Amino acid sequence: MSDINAPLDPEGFLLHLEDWTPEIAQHIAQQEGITLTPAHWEIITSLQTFYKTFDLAPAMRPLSKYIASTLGKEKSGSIYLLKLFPGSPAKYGAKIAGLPKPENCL
Amino acid sequence: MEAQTHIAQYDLLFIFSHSPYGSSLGREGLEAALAAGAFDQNMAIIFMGEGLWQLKSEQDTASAQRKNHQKMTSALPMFGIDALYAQASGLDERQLDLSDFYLAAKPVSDATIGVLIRQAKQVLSF
Amino acid sequence: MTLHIVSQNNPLALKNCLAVAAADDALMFINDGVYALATHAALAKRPLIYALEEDIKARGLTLSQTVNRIHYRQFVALSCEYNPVQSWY
Repeated sequence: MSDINAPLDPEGFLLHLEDWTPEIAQHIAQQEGITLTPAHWEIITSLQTFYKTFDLAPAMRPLSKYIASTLGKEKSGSIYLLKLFPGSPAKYGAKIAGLPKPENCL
Repeated sequence: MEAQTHIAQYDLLFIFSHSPYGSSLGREGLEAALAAGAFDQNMAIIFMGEGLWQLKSEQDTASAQRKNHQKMTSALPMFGIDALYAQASGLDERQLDLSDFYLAAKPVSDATIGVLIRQAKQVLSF
Repeated sequence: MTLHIVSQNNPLALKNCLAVAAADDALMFINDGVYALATHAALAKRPLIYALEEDIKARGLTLSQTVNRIHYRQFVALSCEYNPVQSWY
C-alpha cells in the first residue's frame, strides 16, 4: 500500500484520477489478487472514459450498458465482467482504473 | 379522463422543478434518480418550470469550477432511465424547444403531468 | 387523487402546483405556504383548499372563509386519504 505515491481514500481508492498511472493500476490489482490482461485493460480504459464523459463512477448496470455500446455485447455480460474482476466488477474495476468508489455499491 | 388510460403509469416519478446551479436540489434529485435507476425501477422524470434548464445543452462549468450537471444528467440513459418528459408550457415560457436539449424528452401538457403524478405510486420532488 | 402540499411562499412552486393540479385534487398550505394563500385571493375560490391552522395563527393572517383550516391530526388524515402526496417548493 505504501508503494502507491498518491493520496487514497480509506478504502484504497485514488482521490484524484490525474494521479493514476498503469503502474498504480498494476499495484492495486495485485493487492486485490487480480493479474491484469489486455481484456482487463480495455475495461479499465472504458471505465475511465465513462468517468470523464459522465462525471461519475458507474455502478454495475450502467457499466454493463456502456460496455455493450462501446466494446460490444459479448463483453458486457456480468459473467464476463465477474471473471475479470471477481466479486464486484464495478467496485474493483473503478479502484484499479483510479476512479472513486461507485455509489450504491457495497 | 378517457385519455388517462393512454398515459404511462410509473412506480417512481421524479419531478425536477429547479434550475441546475441555483441550489443543490438539481444535483440531489439527479443522484436520487441515478440511484433508483441502478436498481432497475419502473420510473420516469418530469422536467418542469425552472427544472427545464437542467436539459439545456452546452453547459460549460470549467470557469465556474462546478460539477457539470449536463455530464451527469447525460448518464440517465446508461442507467436505463429513458422516460423523460418536458413540460410543454414551461418550454414556451422560456423560449426553449427540444432542439436546445442534449437528451431526448417528450413534451407533455400540464394536464398530462397531473395525470402522471396521480397515477404514480410514489412521487419524489426536487 | 393527489394531495399537493405548498410549504413555501415561492411563486414558481405555486405556479407549478396550480399548472398540474386537477379540480378534484386537494391543495394543502403549510409553513410559509400560508402566505401564498393570503396573497392570492383567487386561490381561495378553488375547491379543496386546506391550510394548517397553527401556521395561519402564528403568522397573524386572516384568510378567506372558503379555506378549510385544519390541525395536524386532520392533516395526517388528509395525507392518508390522498395518494400520491406531492410537495411543491
